[in-house]
Amino acid sequence: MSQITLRQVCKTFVLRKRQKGLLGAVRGAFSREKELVRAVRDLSFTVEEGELVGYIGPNGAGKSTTIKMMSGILVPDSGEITIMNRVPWKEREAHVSWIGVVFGQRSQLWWDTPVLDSFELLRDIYRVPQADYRRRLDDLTALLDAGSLLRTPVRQLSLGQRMKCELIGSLLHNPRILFLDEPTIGLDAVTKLALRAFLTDLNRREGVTMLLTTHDMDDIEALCSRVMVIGKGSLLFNGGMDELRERYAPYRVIRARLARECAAPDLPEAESVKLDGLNAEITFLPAKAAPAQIIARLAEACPLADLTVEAPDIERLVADMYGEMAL
Amino acid sequence: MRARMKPYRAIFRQQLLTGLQYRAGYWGSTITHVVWVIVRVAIVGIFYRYGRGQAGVTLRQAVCMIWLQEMALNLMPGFGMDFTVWNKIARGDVGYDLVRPLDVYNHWYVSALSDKLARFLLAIVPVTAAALLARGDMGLHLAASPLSILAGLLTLATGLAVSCAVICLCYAAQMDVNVGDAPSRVMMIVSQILAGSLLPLQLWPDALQGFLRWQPFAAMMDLPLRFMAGSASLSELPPVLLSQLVWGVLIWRLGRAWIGRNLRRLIAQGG
Repeated sequence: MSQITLRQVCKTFVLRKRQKGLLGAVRGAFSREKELVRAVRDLSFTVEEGELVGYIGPNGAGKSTTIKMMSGILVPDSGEITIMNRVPWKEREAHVSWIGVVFGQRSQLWWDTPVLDSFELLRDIYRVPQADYRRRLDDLTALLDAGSLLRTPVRQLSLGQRMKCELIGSLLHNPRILFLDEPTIGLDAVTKLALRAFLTDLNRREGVTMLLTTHDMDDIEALCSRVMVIGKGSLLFNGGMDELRERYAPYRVIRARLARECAAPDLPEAESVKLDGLNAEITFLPAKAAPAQIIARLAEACPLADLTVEAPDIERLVADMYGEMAL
Repeated sequence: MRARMKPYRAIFRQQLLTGLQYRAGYWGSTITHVVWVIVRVAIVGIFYRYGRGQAGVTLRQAVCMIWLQEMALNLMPGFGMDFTVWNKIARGDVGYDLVRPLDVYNHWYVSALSDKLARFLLAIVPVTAAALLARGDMGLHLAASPLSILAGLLTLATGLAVSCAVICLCYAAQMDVNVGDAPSRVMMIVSQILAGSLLPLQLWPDALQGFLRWQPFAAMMDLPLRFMAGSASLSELPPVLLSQLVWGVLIWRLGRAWIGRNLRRLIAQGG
């Protein structure tokens, strides 16, 4: 049986709309317009133990709502959620002992006191034995190079330092599942790389199942074995990164810098050829044409100064997908 | 039982630590308490000197009540309160509180209790020292017997349980999107006034005394302090405890049910 199972899950929010201005406020005191927002509709998927799954979608697609339902914070209107054989919102206290959650835009640390005080509070809340806590804290701080941060008040930490501490705080009780809701938001490249290395290592060493929502496609490429794409509350894609590329952007692009200006080469096997001064961009489908053949014909037509063969940019691919969803 | 209480003891410890972080704030709050006593005693003194009516308590008892109120003020809802939970509800940050293996109501109740108790313990020593140093009519004159003082301390402690239930009721109201935060703010201010924090309830008009005696907020501060000021006899202890029990259980049950209902209908959008 899968560790996480969602079947036909729906969640609707009621939004109360108000009109602008003083007149609108007075009117709003007597009658208000309601709007139903279907945040998640008929959502079904499974996640196996030890998987590291990316969960992506545009803003407002229903990613965070799904994470909150799986964490036991929100109750779905209909459908089933089973995580480690428990229904999260029905057995919330037992369920949350086995999960860790990081909300990238929120903090679980006490703002005014040193980080270590927050960790000790979490130790006691999760009833972690002192010896286990000590060992776990030493391991996690060593892996994230966060030992020097422990005595610093949270308010004096940079965003990257705080995020390292948030991750440690979520893992002190040794959860079997980790939900990461935009953990790399606002972080610099160095910290992002450190967090990615840490998460990969944790997943490999301890088999912690991870579900990651992010807008950073590099996170998904670097970390996830599988990706799920959600749009307007429904699951649009569920599979590997290669499959995502094959389905939505199966083409490759040859970018060449020519040694001298020349006429556009005749390449019938290519999907498109664009020539702009000394720069050429040739799009082709690997299933229909071999790249070596196209490059050879291009080199025959014009001498080449430089050349790269690129897979489509994943950011572009996902932006196109999101664009299609909006239509 | 000991293991079950561990998280709540830890929350109390953390709240106390937070209260000790800022020295300037601590001394500023202490000085405010003392200055506020001087102002209130001066106003009450004028009423006693030039007023025509007959008060139910002597000036010394009224001044004593004011000092004791200032010591106990931190136990009231809304006064010098840590608005962390309040702000979390307002900003939709309650997510982390809901992923802890704790009952949400108990978690917030203990946070409120810890915050109130921590602030009370931090303020009690310097304010008591100032009260004992004040001379003449301005000073603290505890006329009550040791038993009455004990009764006062006991009912103050049980009154704190009611006060925290009121705070949780305010959290419940704020969580309810149909209610919003204005009723909670009003409830906190009304509870402070009806607990006698502006004027000891015995100095209010006689016609109101029956209502004031039995409304829920009197049992949080005013009734307990009457024992210590010597303006209530020990025979009033059972009715005060009964009033606290009835109101405490009622408000606790209402807050618990309301928070439970809110959690089932919770909306937490946006990241």
